[in-house]
Amino acid sequence: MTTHISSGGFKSIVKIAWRNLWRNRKRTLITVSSIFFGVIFSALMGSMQEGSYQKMIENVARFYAGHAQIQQKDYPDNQSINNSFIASDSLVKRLNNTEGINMVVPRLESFALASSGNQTEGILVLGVNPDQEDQMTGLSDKIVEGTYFDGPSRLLAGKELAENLGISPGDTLVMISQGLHGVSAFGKYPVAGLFSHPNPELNRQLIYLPLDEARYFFQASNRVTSLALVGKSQKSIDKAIPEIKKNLEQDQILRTWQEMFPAILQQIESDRATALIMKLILYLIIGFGILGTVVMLMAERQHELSVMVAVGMYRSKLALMLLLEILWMGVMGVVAGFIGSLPVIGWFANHPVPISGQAGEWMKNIGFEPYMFFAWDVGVFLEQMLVVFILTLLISFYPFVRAFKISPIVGLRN
Amino acid sequence: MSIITIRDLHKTYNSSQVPVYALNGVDLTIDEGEFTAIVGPSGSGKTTLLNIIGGLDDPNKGQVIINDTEINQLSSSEKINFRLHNIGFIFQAYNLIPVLTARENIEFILELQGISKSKRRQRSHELLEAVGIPEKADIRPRQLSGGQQQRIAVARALASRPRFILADEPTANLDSASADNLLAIMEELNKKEKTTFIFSTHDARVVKKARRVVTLEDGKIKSDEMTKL
Repeated sequence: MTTHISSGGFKSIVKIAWRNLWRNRKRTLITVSSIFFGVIFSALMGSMQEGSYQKMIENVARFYAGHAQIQQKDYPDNQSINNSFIASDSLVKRLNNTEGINMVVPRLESFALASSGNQTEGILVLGVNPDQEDQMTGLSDKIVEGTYFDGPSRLLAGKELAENLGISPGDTLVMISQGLHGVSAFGKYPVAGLFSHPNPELNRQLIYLPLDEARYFFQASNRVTSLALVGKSQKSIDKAIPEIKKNLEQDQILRTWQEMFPAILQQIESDRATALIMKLILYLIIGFGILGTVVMLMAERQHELSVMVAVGMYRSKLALMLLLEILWMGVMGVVAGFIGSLPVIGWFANHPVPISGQAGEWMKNIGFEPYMFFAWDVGVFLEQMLVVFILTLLISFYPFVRAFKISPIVGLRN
Repeated sequence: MSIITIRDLHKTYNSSQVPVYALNGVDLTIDEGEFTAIVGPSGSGKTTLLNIIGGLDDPNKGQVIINDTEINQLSSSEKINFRLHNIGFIFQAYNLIPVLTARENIEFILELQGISKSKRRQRSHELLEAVGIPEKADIRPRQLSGGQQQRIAVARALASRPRFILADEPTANLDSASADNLLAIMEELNKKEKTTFIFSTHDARVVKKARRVVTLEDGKIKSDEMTKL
C-alpha cells in the first residue's frame, strides 16, 4: 500500500488562497480598506507627532542654541564666565571645514543686573556676532521696535523685559555684573531695538550685545562661553559628532541639544508614550476588524476545509493556504495604505494646519508656532506599514492554529 | 482477494450522556473490484461505517485492515496521506472546491500527490470524457447542475486511481435521470478501471445496480447478499 508522504500541491494552495480572497469581494475589500485606513491614520498620526517634535527641536536649535555647542568642560555644571574658553581661529576653521557643519557661531553668555530709573531686573547677557547671529537665528526679523544693532555699543532687549524696565529704543540701560575672575563689570548701553522671541522666557530676561562689547563688559577678551554649531539638520550634526570631537582641546566638550535641554527631550519622550497609547487603540480597532473577518471566514468554511482534509490535504497545507489569504489581505491593505498616505502626508507636510482660538494663543504663549506640523519622514511610513503588517501576521495565527485542529468528521457532520 | 477486512467494529456516541450504539460488532470483508451497497434505515450506522473505513472517524473497538494496514492505528497525518493515495470519496453534497473549475477539482488530488502537470491534464481529460461532460472542464461548480457536480465528484474520487471509493448517499440529492446516469457511469468505471466501490444508500435504484448488498440494522449486519455475479 502506498503511504509515502506527498509534498505536492503548492500551486493549488496558492491558487485556491488567491481565488478565495475574491469569493466574497465585499468582505475582502472592507477588510483591506480597514487596513488601508489604519495605515493612513497611523502614518498621519506619526507624521504629525514627529513633525511637532522636529519643529520643537528646530525652534530650540535653529533659533537659539544651535544643534550642538562646544563648551568648556566645567561650564555645564557651573555656568560662570570663569568657565569660558578662548576659541582659537584654528579650532573655528577646523570646525567650519567639518562636513555637516554649516555655521560656527561664537557666544559669550553671563548674568547681570540691569537698571533703568527705579527698575532693576536680573538679566541674561548674550554677546553675539550680529551678522552670524542674524544668519543663524534670523534675529533681525524678530525686532518689533527700533532697529537691529545699529552701532557697536548698542543692545537689543526682550520686549517684555523692556516693559518691565520701562525702556524703549533710544533709552539707556545700566548693567552691573561680575566679569572674568571676579572683576567688577559695569556699563551704560543705549537700546537699539526690542525683539519678540517665540520663547517667552527669553523675552523676559535676554539682552543681546555685540560680542566685542560683551567681551569688554565682562573683561573676557577673546573668550567665549560656547561655540554654537548649526548643521543642515540635526542628523547631519549627529553624523559629524566623532569628527568634531577629534578637533576639541582637552578642556572642551561637545554638548548636543539633548544634553543642553533634557526637559525638551523628556517632553518628547512623554508625548511619544501618550501617542503610543492612542496608536495602540487604533491598532486594536484595526486588529479586531481583521480578526472579525477571519473568525467569520473560518466559521463559514469549516465544512469545506474538512472536506479538503478528508480527501487528503495535509493540515499544514491548509494552514499555509489560510495564512496566505490573510497575508495577502494584509499586504494589499498595507501597500495601498502606503501609496494613499504619500499624497495626504505630502500635502500636510507642505501645508501645516493652523491652530486658532485659545489653543493657538496658548501655544504662542509657551513659545510655539500655532500650527500642526507634519513630518515627511519615510521612517514614519515604514514603521506604520510594518506595525500593521505584523498585526495582520499575528492575527493570521488564529486560522493557522485552527487549521491544525480541523476534524474532517466534525466538519462533514456540520 | 480481500481489500478491506473489518473485525468486531464498535462505535458509540455519547449524545447528551445517553450512549448511541452506531456500530455494534460489525464483521465484514470487501474484495477488490466489488460494487457494494450498504443499506439500512436512517441511524443504522451506514455513514459511521464508511467514515471509519475511510479513516475519518475512529472506532471504540475493533479493527479496519486495508490490505496490511490497520487504518485506525495510523496517526492523524498518516491517515491523511493514506486517504490521499488509497481512498476516493464521493459525498452526498458533492463537496467540490467552489473556487476551482471542474478540471482543477479533478486535478486537485493529483497535484497534492505531486503528479506532473501533463499527466494530470491527461487524466482529467480522460475522466471528464468518462463522466460525459468534457465541455464543462473550465466551469466552476456553482455553474453546474447537481448531477454534473456529482459527476465531477466521481471523477475527482477516481483521479488518483485509488484502491477503493467510498460514496455516502451519492444519489440522494439527484433527480432520477441524473441518478441513473451517475450510476451507469460508476458501474462502467468500476468495470473499466477495476475500482472497488462501496456506497451507502437508501435509493432502490442504487441497490438494484449493486452486485453485493450489505444491510445494517441497529449497528449490526442483518444480511449480506450477492445479487449479481
